[in-house]
Amino acid sequence: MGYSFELPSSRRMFKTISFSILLLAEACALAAPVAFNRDIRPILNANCIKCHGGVKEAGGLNLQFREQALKAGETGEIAIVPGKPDESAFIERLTAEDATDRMPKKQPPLKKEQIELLRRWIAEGAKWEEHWAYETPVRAGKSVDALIGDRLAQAGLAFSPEADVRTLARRLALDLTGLPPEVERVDRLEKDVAKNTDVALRAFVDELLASPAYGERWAVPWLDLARYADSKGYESDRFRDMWRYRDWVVDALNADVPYDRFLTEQLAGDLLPGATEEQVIATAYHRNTPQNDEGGTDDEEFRTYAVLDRLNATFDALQGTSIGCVQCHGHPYDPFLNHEYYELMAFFNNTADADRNDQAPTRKVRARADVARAHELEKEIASTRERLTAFHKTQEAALVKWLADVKPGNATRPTAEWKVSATAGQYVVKPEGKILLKGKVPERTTITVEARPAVGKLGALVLEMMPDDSLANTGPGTNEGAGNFILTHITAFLNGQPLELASATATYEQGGWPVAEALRIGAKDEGESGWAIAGGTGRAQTATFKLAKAVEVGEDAELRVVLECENERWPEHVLGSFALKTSAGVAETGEALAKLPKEIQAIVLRERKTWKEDEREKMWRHFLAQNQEALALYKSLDERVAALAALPLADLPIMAELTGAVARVTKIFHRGNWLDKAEAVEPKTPLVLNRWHDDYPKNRLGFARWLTNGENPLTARVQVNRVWEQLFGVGLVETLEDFGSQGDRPIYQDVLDDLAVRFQTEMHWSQKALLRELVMTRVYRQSSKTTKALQERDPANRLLARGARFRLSSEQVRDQALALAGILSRKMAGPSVMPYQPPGTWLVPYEGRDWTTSPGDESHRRALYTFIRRSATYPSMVTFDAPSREFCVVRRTRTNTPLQALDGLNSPVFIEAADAFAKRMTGATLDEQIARGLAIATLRPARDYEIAALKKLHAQTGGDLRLVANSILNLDEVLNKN
Amino acid sequence: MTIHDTLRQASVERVTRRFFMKTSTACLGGMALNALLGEKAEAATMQLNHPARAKRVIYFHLAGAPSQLETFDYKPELAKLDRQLCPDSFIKGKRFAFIKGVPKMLGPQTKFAQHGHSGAWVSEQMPELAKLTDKMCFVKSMWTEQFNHAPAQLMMQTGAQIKGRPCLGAWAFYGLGSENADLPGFMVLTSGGKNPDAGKTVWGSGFLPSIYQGVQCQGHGEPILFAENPEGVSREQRRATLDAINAINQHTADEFGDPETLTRMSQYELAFRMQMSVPDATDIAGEPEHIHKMYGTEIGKNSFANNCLLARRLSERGVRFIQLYDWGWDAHGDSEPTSLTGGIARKAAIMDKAVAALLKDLEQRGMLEDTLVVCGAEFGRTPMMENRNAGKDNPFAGRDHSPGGFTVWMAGGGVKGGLSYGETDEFGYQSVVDKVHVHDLNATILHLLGYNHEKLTYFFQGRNYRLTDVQGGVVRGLLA
Repeated sequence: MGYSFELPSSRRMFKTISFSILLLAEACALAAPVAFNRDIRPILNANCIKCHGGVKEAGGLNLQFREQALKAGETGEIAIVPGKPDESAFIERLTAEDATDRMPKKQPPLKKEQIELLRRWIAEGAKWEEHWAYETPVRAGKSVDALIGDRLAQAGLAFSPEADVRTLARRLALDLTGLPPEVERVDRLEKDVAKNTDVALRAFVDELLASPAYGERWAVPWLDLARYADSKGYESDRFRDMWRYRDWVVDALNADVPYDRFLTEQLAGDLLPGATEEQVIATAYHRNTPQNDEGGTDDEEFRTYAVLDRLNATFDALQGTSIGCVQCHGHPYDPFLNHEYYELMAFFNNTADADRNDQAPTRKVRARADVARAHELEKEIASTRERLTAFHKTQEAALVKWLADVKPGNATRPTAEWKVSATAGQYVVKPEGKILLKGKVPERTTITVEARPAVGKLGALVLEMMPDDSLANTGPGTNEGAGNFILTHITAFLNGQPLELASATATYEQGGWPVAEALRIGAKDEGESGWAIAGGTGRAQTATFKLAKAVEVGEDAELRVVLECENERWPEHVLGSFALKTSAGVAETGEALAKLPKEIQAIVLRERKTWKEDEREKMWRHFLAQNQEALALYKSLDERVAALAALPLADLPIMAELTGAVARVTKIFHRGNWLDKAEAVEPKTPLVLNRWHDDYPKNRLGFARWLTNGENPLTARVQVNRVWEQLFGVGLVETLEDFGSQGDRPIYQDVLDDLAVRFQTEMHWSQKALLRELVMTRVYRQSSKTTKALQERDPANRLLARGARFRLSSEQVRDQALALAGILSRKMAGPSVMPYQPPGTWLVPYEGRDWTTSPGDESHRRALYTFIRRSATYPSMVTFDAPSREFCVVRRTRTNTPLQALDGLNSPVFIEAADAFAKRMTGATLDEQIARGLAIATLRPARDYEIAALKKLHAQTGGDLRLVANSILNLDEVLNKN
Repeated sequence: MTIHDTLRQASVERVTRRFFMKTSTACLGGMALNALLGEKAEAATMQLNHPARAKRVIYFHLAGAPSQLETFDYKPELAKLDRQLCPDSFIKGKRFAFIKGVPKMLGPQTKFAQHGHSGAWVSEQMPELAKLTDKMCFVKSMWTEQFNHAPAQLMMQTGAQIKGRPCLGAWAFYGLGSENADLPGFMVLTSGGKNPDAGKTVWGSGFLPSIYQGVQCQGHGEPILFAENPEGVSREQRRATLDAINAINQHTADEFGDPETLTRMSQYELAFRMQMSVPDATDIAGEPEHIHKMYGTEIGKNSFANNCLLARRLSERGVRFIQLYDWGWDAHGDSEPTSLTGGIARKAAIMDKAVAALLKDLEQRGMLEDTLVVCGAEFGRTPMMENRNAGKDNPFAGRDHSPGGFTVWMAGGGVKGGLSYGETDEFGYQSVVDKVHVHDLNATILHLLGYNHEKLTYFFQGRNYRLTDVQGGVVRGLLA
């Protein structure tokens, strides 16, 4: 084996230089005066900064900052004396004869030309320049095409020819909507272009930008930055409702919410004055941090990780600055200081979330498309309920009567013309309808009540014990303090004939003193039996005595009831206040009750005022089961309630700021260790970036203002670069995640800067405006075909002398297959779905929830809507380089592996797509069928060699058109944007 | 160097732009073409820092973490304290996953005896491995900071307790490349019915390009996802499909001049070969009866024993890194299956037989000397008996998680056989003599593969990352 690669650590340095040599040198000759960023910084970074930078500051020297390099170091020598290279210890050490003194230590000496450059630079005053990315971008005064075209001309190159309109149409559709265009639309475009190319293309672009698919396509890279997923991460990796945030992103992109607002709402929507629900939903952005539910974990530890993750992700994604290393020490290459990390962290360290299992704070939210419908349903439900209530009122009397008929004990009718006498004590008939003891409580008594019973069937006697203020504890009995009584025996006569009382029930019975005892003859003699109610005194109680056989009561009948309170041991326990009633017929109503559903019986038997809401409703529904008007209302209500329940409701984690006494104090972590805290810091932005405005609040909202006020040198550059990368495959700054001095130095900085300025000003932060301009450029519209010479000259296409060609993203690979097959569901938004996944993909400990394949069309939704479980991501997505969404991914890698081939050839979704695609390949002959398939997939006319190859396959496979379809879906041209 | 490697590497070069380093003008398409034509392509692996002692790794991770006190770390002093209240000094300032209040000490739940020339102590639960102690190198003084499964497994495998870093296998593959044109260089086998607690991240490639992630060999169904042709599609028909695709793609390559097209053609070819080679490698039906008997394998089952035999077959075929995860070692004693004398003892018996068989099998094939076998877990277990629910003893003999002291053993490629390195205290609680941190172990493993752990790095988010973060040192005492 040969080992020709340099180690990656040094590789990086080499790369920076290689670019200057390879590409920059073509355009700009190295001429005086020395430019720090162009000539000096690369040398320092490659050779010196490792020891004399933010990490080590060896010998007290840090070459990142001019003021430090000009100070005396630990040896007392001054490294750099401006204007005087010969007095500068820096030059002396670089040129030392003795290898032990010479810098860089234990490395070969610097080249003569490099040392000469450094001398000249010191002689010219040793001027430091701010790294380009921290300088405010300026306009270039030329168009993108002119800037790039001029540079190509200087390099002896030129733009490639424009791609043909059909190729361009597919490129535009994939770039703007992530979906291939329809053949018919491209046919039309081709005709329109023949009349006026720019007008036709602009109309096509506007149409694509207006499509809802636009937001779905552009949400994906943003969701990579937001580390959006449907689970929490870590051990059990439980589900969480984040989909409403995903939909917010899609909606915001479709509405072309200006990027400054887009960021502000996500970082600090909750802090905006009068924050709307949508603005609060946006703050779920930084609630996508993983959460650890494992037993025994320290919530504060994982809360801290989440806060650090928010800070790091914010800088990686929005500032193109890797700041994670500053957690432990000063930035090794870029001018960020250790304490600045914690000052930035202080902006993020004051939210209420605390890695709690319940994810608090959360908010219950509906899909945006459902909000209006849900509101409408809620209103309709309320009004239907009102109509029902009104209708119930008209039926109230009937219900009362019906209840009286079916409810034993409650189906009472008053008796009249009471005459009362007692063996002891004075009982009087009160006008409000009760018999009350007046004066002294007797010791034992037998009360005889004569009354006129109601006409009709008599099935039971009802003794209602009623409280009265004159009694002890309001009665209804008489014993001192409690108001208890003992009814030792009851007998009754109708028209002088004894009535046989067969059984008794009561609303309350004291333990050992059941009401049935009152039926037993001789109970009084035993002294300890009868009906008593200790524990149930102070309120009304009722005893119902059922007749063995109901009797008919005619006019003028006479009822006599004898109530004995003759207990010898507790003689003062006598009746205090009561009424005597009869029942319409216990025997009958008992039967009626028995016919009712058990659930209704149970409700009937309880007092109406104790019924709960749902029981009242059940009662009414039962009672009105035959009433057509009521049924119509119930049906209407039920349908709406079901419709409302079918609308998903998310419990979305959101941001909330802590204020006052519970606000957190942020402290510096000593050497990055969260348990080792040093001094407290205030929220503050880094010195090297734009200035802070004192009228900004010192919280996330102030931070968002600082980020988007047009003064930040990175915000617009980073976003313009990201959009560029999505279109061209490589950013103007290749390292999307690193605009620092170790990142890629853009060849076309003027293009980036000009676009960045205009993005913030004339485009008003509109991403659609930016895209509209970029996709109409000559640069974008070039053919991606290349020559061997150009491929060798510029293999990665950094100079952009040809169009971009690269594989579709994992989402696009899937969406395209389904779309070409004509089975892609265009349903948007809502909870994530579960298309087919091989069994056994999820085997997550301590969490039994399974992947349940979504029914029907739901499994053909766009890949964006596929459920993402962080610990076991959807396999096909991973195969095509989708990240696991556990952390912020600024730039996806693009690999080309055999697993992708297996997926494209054999995975069920591709097979299903091939089946459906074969059906779309219509034609009178096989040639026509194949040509039709190729036309749908490539958007251009089929070629002879293609038809020949696929016809051969068709013949070899016994005429299987599905395999032809399967092959077309796997063609390199189809898997790529061309 | 194989075609497969070259192409994989080429693909990565394209992505990471390392390509520039090699030659500023060379055409990648040229490399790919050479490869396709079977011409000798230049090696594209990372430079070795020193000669390697091991060419491949078989790594057993017993997920859930077995007890060192019932396996190899014999503590007679602990037996004397059996069921006595735990000394305050053991629990003061410590955090536990489950233990509440003051637990009782729990003596060793199995008998120990010394074995081999080295006189290594082995529990009677492992009679077969006991016969091989002179080939085994025990590190008895392991320690980690993490006391929960998921973070501890991540720490063990990726060198960081939070997700997002490449695992050991990915680093090894990144460095060494593959030896077989028809198989992935890093494969993963799981048993025990569950994935490890930390999920598939433990065999993920983190920020390394995705081709370096472990390819999971499925326990059931197709050994590699979608390796089987759909129903009704024969191998001949698949061949015909590829011929048609590649015939058209060749025109595309000519038309667009994009080297990725050539790479894709070769990857489709590799996929086609893998459709044969993977089932062949994973089909154990042809193994002789005595081999099945020795391992305890049953054809068609997803079991730890089957995975051990698969590991041998894959390593024979040149797979660089084979990672086995066996779930279910979490010996809390809250139920019979997690009892040290019940379910865990039964798992130990299966493991003992199969792993001993693998060591013997590798040796009889002359492979043990350049195959590094590692067997460990994410942490150890407490000498205290676990109690939970208001301090009530668990119903079965069990122990809680213990990060301060545990045992990992290695055998084969470059490690000293018959060695017991380091010690825990007299109760097996904390490592005290020659302590070995997870980073030290990982540095040692990379060393055996020929890499200086400080130099095998990858530039990401502004700095060079490595498996051992900013720590770790090679444990020279373990080297043969």
